[in-house]
Amino acid sequence: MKKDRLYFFTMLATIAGYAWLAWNEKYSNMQENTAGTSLCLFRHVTGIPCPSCGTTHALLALSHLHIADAFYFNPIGFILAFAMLILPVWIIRDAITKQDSFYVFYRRLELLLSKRWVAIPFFVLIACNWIWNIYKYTS
Amino acid sequence: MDAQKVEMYLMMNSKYFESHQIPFIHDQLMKMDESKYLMLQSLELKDPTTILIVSLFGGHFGIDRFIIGDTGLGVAKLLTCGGLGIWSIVDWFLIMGRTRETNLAKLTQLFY
Repeated sequence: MKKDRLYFFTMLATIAGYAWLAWNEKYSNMQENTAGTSLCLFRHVTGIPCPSCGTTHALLALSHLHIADAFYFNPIGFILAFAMLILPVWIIRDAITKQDSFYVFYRRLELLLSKRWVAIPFFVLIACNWIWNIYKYTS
Repeated sequence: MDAQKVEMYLMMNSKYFESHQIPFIHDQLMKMDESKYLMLQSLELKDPTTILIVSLFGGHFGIDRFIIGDTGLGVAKLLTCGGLGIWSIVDWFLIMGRTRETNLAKLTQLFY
């Protein structure tokens, strides 16, 4: 992936993420632990939640500083919250200083993730989270 | 490289590349050294149609992106519920082109 496209799509994804959160904060009753609006295809088709279902709940809980709730809804929320806070700042910094530090980091991360000793634990963790998700949201 | 071998290779493998890239690939293969023929044969290219099927069923988890080597995007797709379900639908239309692009990238590594 080219640098400009990566920066553009990362920004787009972050903005979409914030917009989605703002919409949910305003129009759905996330605080009362209801199912909320779900765009998850997998959940709509199979009735089983996917590994990252509940992340919206988690992020909203985090924005209200309910850390334990956020962890319960979905631990992936922490990763995404971190990404959503850091990435826009990083990209703007790169744009101002005309560097490509985020691009280099992204490339390194891709290389790291294609190594077996990183990939296997990562997917095992995701799978564990998925099992927990199914247990939480279907029972 | 021998013209006959190049023709043969292109006939067998043209489905892995964009049609407008075929003339470029043809020229580069003609210029290529004969000794790389074995490497060319053993190059693992991904079939766009197979990836499309993977995308239809496993695109939500980013499996299509992992297979073609876009690991970073695969992870992003996995962690965001397939980009709120929208990205996974968009990818049904983009993934075949992207697969051909990555195939060409693999091939060009051999040229230089």
